[in-house]
Amino acid sequence: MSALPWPLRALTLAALVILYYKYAKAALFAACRRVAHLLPFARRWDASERGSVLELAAAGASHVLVVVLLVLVTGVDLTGLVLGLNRPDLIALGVAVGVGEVALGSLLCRVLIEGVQAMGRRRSGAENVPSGAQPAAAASAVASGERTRQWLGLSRGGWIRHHLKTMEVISLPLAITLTAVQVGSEEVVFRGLVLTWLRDAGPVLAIGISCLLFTVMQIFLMSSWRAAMFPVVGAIVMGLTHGVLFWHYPLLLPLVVAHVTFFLFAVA
Amino acid sequence: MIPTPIPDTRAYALTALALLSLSCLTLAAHLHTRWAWVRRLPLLAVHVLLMSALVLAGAALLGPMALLQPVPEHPAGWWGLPSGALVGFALGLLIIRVDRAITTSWRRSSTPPARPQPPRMTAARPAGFAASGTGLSERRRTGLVRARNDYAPTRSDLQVRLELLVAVAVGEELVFRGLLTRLALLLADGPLVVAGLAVAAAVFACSHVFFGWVQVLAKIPLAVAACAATLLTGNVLAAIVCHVVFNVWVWRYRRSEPVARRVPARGMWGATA
Repeated sequence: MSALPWPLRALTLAALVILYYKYAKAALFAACRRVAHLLPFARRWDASERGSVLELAAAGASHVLVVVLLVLVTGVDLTGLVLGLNRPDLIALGVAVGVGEVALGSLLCRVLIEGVQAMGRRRSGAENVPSGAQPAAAASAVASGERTRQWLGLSRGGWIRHHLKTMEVISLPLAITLTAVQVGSEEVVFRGLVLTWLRDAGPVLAIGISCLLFTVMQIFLMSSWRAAMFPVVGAIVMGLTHGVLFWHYPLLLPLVVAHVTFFLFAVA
Repeated sequence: MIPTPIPDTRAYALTALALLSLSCLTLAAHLHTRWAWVRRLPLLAVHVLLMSALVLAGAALLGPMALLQPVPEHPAGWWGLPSGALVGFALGLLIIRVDRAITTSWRRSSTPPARPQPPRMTAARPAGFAASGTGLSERRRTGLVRARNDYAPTRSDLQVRLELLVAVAVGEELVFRGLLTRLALLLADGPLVVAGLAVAAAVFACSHVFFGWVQVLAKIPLAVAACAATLLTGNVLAAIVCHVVFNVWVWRYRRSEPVARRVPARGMWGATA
């Protein structure tokens, strides 16, 4: 497969990403929800909570299998990448990078929300004010606040729900381990494998494709575009930052630490 | 072929510094929303503390003069300081007029203020002794949305002492014009430098989103003027003086506003904060 030109390799990766992250994961999560009803602990955890923990565990385990499959397909030697255990300074800086990414991502999300709300208010104002009906304009503003509330509520759904529920119901070390397996595998796929396999395409194209696939993957299994806004904006910030860092310094561990920190800061 | 990994602490440190500098006000809002003991301080005090830490880290990484004179080998040299003070004062007065014009035109075209939101009935959640022994007491409350996006400034956040507003102006200019300009100029490519400076100015304006969307638009002239003055004089004094003049006007404006006319800050949910 490595003898293929890079556009074909990029297409192969895109097909694998869509196949796994859209269809295989949807089937896996549906199976987890069915199995959740058969499990014990009904008094302690409800079916939704059992299903969420199962979904996260299954996503992590299947992700590891996908990494193995991709290593076989791409022929990339991962042993040359997973260095960094002896660099506590980089691991500590990975935490700082993760905190910076989540803060920048949430700033951009807030700007988007306020911008859309302001545009909506102006549009409804343009419709309502000439008629001189102040109660109608006020009601429109209240409705706008309600829409924001619904928007933020939607963002707790989709695949984010199983992270939130898992954080709520199981012990913190176990929840962090499950999250670390899941997001660590994403770093291996989208930075370790994609960027290494597409290195001959040049930095702009390779980082662009890696970031695009990483961002598109966030949209799958979310209920709507509005719900997907939070992970998409975070993925753009993280995809660019991690892509540039990995391109120059191919170390995975600090990036995994940054990704886990991002999740913990966002969810915990 | 996989290249040999070359761990570079400096690259990671500069990346972390750039990200944290771009998002320092949001980070302060995160901390303010998340922990009660941080909430005892006004948001702007937390912001100043974070910026102080970033300035110290930047000075340690790039050298202390790099933040004050972010443009290396600028032809103005030390003469840029007195000229910067004069340019900054004049720019500050100009920015006040532009800011007022933008906020006034927005206020005229916007809809009348909304009525307070009606109280909502929600399901009662057992608390205290009533919750003990139930499943609810064993759940960890998570806050993806709460911690990320519901910060809205309260009246005490907005009505702060002059010293704090001056410290905010100095800190923001050292971070956005000193530290981030220096980091942008470290990029070797010309278009990348311009993109870096544009991102720093845009994010500076966007960081005022907590005070309303109109404040984002109104802060664009300040961001552009401060950036241009820094590049023109080679140091951040012009930007600092400009921002301090502007913040002193904001402080005087809020103090002179009749109490009856003061509109409390509107929160994310359209309710009074």
